[in-house]
Amino acid sequence: MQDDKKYIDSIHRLGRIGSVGAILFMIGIPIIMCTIYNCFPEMSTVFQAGGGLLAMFVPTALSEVISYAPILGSASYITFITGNVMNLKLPVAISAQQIAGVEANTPESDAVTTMAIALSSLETIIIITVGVLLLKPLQPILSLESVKTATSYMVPALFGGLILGIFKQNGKVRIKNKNLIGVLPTILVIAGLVIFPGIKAKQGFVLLGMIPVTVLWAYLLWKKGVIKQIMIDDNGNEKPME
Amino acid sequence: MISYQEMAHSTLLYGLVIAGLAFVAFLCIVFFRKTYNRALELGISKETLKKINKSTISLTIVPSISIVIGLITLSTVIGTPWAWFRLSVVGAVSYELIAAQMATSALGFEDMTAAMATDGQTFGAVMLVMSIGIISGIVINTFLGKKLTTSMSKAGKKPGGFGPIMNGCFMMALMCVMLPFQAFTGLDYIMVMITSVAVSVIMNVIIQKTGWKWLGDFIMAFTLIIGMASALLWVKIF
Repeated sequence: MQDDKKYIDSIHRLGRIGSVGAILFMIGIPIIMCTIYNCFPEMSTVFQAGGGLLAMFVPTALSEVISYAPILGSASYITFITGNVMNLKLPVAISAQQIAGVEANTPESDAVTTMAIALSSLETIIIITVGVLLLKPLQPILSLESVKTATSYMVPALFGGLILGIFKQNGKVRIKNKNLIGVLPTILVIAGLVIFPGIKAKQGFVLLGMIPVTVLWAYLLWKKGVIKQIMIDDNGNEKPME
Repeated sequence: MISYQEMAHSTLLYGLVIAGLAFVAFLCIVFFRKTYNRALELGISKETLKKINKSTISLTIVPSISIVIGLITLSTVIGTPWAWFRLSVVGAVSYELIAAQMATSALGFEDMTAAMATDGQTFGAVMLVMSIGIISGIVINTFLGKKLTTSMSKAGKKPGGFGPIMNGCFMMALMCVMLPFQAFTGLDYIMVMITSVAVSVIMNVIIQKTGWKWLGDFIMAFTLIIGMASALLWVKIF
């Protein structure tokens, strides 16, 4: 087997090179266009509008990286390059981990998650390309009011479909009383939404805050012996981890 | 000077966008091959990997089509090639429209329509602003990604310790935030979630009763389509 450290170094090197390449294309395309057509805008205008966007998006991006990178592992590079984290990449990652029967942050989950997200990203590029080619003939169907309505409910439909997989454990190694970990964070989030309805627009920040709360709560439950890692034998009986 | 519309639909822009997308597609292929081989090395069977890939393909179709719907809206504002690029990398329609609107407003235009009737300088500013505003996630991840993932991975290695439990906390925290947030959006959102849960439960029961394991690869795709379609009913009731 390829040495763990060697593999980790090489996959992160690939991710970093890919990220730098993607940034170069994103910034390079407008620069080349403006240079060739001799129409560079005033940079003060660009920074004025760009600065506002950065102020809006840097905290969100920071919270997304901290929150999702531990779930995504080395797939975070492709994920942040191709976007659509919540509606596409996370469900794909969760599904891949469920099918492989692995927990996040293990070498196995890192491999299958990155493989699935790379495939998903490639597929999205292909579908959008087909969409570009069919833009004119597809326009009447895709602009139907019913299609637009259904599309706006994609996130609740996705997360509804993921509930079962998250709360039900199937593998030989399980966490006893795992779902208790979710009780306190859920109560806090519901209380937060009732008391401060304004946080509805700050989902990313709430998630960032809830991660340490969840870890700390899980730690307390583990210390008290309420939750623990167990093995399930072939007869379906529990036995402690060796 | 070249007009906004001419620049937004120029052959050169199509060429650059195709080159950029080819780079990202190549990167995806390299990542796929590398991690597929790694998964085999780690003892995951070819059959499991095939299952994951089938499930990924079916799970990706519907959200990708929704991106195509966004493409229609966005292409009317910034032209087809740039919308194609932006929605294939990083961007989401909502962000892209906000960014384009902020750029044109900083240039002193009342709305996008007014900006679209001007010259290439406006389009150049729109492209630059959209790019600068969105790259923060990639830049931050380039610096923090390895540290975050390797430190979490090390913590999770000891069996019976807290590490493996902590690993499950991130996904749990995500669900504990996402589900209440979706539920507080409205009763129709709650009903869509319940419909999706019901579809996944029913499909699991069908698989157990019939032994049709192949159906497992399509649970998410069916759940997604039926859940979204049910919204048409729920919005009429609530």
